[in-house]
Amino acid sequence: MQPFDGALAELIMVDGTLTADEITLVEDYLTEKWITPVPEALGATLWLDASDTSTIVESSGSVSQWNNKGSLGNFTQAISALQPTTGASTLNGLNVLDFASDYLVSADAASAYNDLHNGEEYIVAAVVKFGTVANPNDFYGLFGNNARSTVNIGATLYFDDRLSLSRNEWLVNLISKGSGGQPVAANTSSDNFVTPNEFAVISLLADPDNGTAADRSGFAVNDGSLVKNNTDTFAVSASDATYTMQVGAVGNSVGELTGSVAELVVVTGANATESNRQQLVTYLTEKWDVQPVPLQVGATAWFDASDPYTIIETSGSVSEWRDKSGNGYDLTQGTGTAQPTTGTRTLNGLNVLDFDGSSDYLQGAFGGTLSQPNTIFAVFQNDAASPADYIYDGDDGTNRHAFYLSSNKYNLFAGGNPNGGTIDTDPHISKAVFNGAGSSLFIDGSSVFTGSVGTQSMDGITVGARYNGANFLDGAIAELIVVDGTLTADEISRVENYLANKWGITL
Amino acid sequence: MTMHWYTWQTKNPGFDTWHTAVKTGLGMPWIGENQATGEPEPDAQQTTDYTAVVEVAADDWRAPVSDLIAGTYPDGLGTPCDPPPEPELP
Repeated sequence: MQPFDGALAELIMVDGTLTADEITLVEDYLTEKWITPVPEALGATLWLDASDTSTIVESSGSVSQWNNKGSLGNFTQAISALQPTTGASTLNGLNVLDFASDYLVSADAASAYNDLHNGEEYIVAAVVKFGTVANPNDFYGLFGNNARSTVNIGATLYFDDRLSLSRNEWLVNLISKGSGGQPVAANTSSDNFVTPNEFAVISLLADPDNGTAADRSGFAVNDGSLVKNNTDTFAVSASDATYTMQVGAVGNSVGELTGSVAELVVVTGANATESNRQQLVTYLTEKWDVQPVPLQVGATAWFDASDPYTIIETSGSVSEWRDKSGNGYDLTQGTGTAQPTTGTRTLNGLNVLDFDGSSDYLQGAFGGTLSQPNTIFAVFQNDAASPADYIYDGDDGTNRHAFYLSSNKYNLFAGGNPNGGTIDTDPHISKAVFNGAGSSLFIDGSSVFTGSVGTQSMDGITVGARYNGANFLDGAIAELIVVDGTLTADEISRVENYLANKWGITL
Repeated sequence: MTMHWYTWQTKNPGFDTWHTAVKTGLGMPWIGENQATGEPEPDAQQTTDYTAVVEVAADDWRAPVSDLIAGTYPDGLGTPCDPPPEPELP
């Protein structure tokens, strides 16, 4: 026997053969992990990676230099009081840099980052935690070279929680051209877009000179869809940025960051595409194990109509809606006339499933039985004037967790039938807590009723109809999240804010 | 797609005979496609039936049928009728 002389990084054995797609999936995984990481494959200009401690120059944990693994130069900070800290915090077991009103400065000339304001497309993807802004007049910069000013030239990305301006957890990408005192693109995310003091994968796809305002730029948090809300129409600037690029501040030492940065990637030019943004998000999510909100709260089942990868359809008729929880509780419908429709209807610009009110529904069994308490969130829209329709129900007559519309009221049922409120045809977020005598229904964050739903358990779900395929919903369902148990007030707030921001519903 | 309900006096051979002819004509089962990639997904849930029949009474079996299919497969098609009554809530 000849012993192997070399190094072994990873070994995967599969019982059987794989499809071509599966082989590609495994090879991509291994390539990205061991051979060419995604930021390198995409030719990142800026790639700061706190998990790679060989890129960090420090003394007693104070960072004087963070080397850029991308094509541009490194970042430094000579003033010890302004140096971020390394070795003190981790995420998923990997090192992150902590900033306490600290920042680092690019070694490159200001012109090195002109791609961020001159009309070039670019991606920003980062794993970052913004702290709560203690001073009501503060904002926290992730990077920037225009000092967050419209009279300067450059671009910034920052977190704005300024109570003095009624900001509420905004994430802003400000691209300024200087002359005229107006921004080319001030892309301001909605309130509660990011959660302070929590790591998130934030990503941005910018196309500053795009003729269509809605396509000019968009944000996403974790694996969420892009939120596009830019309406400015000003020309871009070909001039150099006003200030040297900074990380942890937005140029000219303004907006020092309180928070943590795990990784920051900027890709410009031809590789700045939506598919590559998603690839970077996947890379960062897997590496740092930053989960979307439904998974953070332990969703047992999660159905998201905005995610096309979870919808199996033929000519728009949905035969399967896949569970994103990882439990594989997929919903199916094998009868063509009973399949809801995809690709024909949106809410806040995102795809929803349309149910025809006469025969459409989806159904799936869980792998086990969920005893009460259980919590179910749904984003739905009823189209009927006087409905007797189910948004969801169990998948048999003895284990029911039903939320239905009847007698112009919202109803819950798990053996008992508390009800209340007044139904309408607006989109809503429902939160139903099935918990015996202590059950409750909230619509858009407000209590509708409390009461006893009975004691039945849940071992599957029917979406868009009664458990036996009757009382069909005439309307749309956007997202459904099933949680085994109850949630804390903070977790409820996080889920409701996630759904409200995503689907454009006011809490 | 405009749907109307039809009734058959028997499930078999009445409804089943007509439904089998429809499924054969449509080439079912249909393999679904991933909405994001457009690629067929052989492992995904298939569309195995065109429509589903509801037993309203011993001699009253009803199913929704689109106008297009009703016009294309008239042989053995049931008689137009109202939708089946929905059960009392809950």
